[in-house]
Amino acid sequence: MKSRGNEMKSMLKKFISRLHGIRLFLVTSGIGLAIAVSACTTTSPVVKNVSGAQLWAMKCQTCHNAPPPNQFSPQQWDVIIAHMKTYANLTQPEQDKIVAFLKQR
Amino acid sequence: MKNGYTLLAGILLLLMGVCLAPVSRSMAQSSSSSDNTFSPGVTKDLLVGDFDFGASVTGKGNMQYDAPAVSLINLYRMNKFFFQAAIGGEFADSGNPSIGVKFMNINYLLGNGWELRAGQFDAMPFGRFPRTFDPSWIWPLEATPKGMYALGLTDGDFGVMLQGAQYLGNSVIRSFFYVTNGPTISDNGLIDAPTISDNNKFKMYGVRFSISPYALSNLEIGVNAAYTKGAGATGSAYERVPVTMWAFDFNYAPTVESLNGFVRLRGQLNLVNVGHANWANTGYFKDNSSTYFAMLAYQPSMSENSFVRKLMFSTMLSHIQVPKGANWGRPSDTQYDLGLTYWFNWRTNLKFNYSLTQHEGNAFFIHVGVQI
Repeated sequence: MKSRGNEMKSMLKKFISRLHGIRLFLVTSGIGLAIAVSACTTTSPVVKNVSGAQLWAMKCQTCHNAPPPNQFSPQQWDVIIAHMKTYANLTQPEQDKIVAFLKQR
Repeated sequence: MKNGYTLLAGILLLLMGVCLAPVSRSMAQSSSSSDNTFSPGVTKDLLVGDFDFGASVTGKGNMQYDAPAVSLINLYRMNKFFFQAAIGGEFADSGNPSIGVKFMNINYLLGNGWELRAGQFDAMPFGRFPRTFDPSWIWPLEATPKGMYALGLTDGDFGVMLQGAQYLGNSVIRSFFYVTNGPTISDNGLIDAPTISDNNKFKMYGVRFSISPYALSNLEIGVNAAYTKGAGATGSAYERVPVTMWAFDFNYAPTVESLNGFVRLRGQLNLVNVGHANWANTGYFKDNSSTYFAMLAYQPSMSENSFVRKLMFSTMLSHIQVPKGANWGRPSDTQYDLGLTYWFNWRTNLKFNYSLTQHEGNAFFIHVGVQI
């Protein structure tokens, strides 16, 4: 009986130690996913009151010199904003406002 | 096999640009008011890239013209689908040209800030550099941070990814979740780039979370983590050697009116922890390595002098820490950089960069970087 109990304890320990390596990852990503999903707010009162020009100057300048609106055509800006989404991971309002400003030229 | 894949990718990229560019130009005459409905024939294609060339002088006084490097990026959008692919060309040490795929992925814009992606992603999981900042028309120095390309994953990986950006009050949370084939590992304990065919059954799971505490600021603090249960090839002694990677990054680019310009403050710390193994030639050693950099740049963009406001002053400290007992052909090293960049316009720069390393001496670079 005792040895069976010890055997089960040992199996449990082995199982937990196998999880150890990915446990931190799961916990971290789970918390993060929960925050991201529960945030689930597609806009912010602060961003609502900001113009596309201001967002363009602020967000584009984060990584590189911001190209002026007349540098590309409206159709090209539609492509570029999708490219920037993958790199800068822009929010939906950021994308919409910035590209609307750039397409005005 | 790898060369054939690369060649095929390059041909596909070229064909897309050649075939779709005329269509895009003719379609540019008409405007599409909405991207929410599929309209046959309304496609958008763009070919961009970057080019770098210059000269360097080493501490011994030897001057050389450095090998040029070019990247070509094809961007193609059809409503919510977005395809991007980049090939890079440079000359290897042998003098022979080297062409490779830097990234290639298909993306679907889910809306509300979410995006689903699949294909080859560049430089996961190590934060912002080299994924975002490396192009020569973006990075103000010619030198890259020490060690940033030394830990094997900067060639990108193949898999699927979900990314999104949402608001949490007045803050922005940006997140990435991905599953990829994962790195390989050499028999000396150094992780290496993924191969075309996955070397084992274990995948790499990665996340990135960043927070911009205030939505109207460009301050962003990120944490990246990735884990694989095994990096070695199937059947090898290292098949089940786990690898955990962390990266922490910091990016802030405020306009400072008292300085009459803006400042760019960037930093990143990469940590790689490889599990226990007896490596060839060295046996066991604690296989934990790291790299970090901190870069500060200042441009007096509001100066009244038209020449001065195009100047950018930058400095960088970077370091790679190699584990004790490792036989990787390189020691731990620290690099110091000073740079002066003249921006002809938003996409073209002339860089003067003095770089000093503890073990590799010093060098002076004069380079031109262009976004094409």
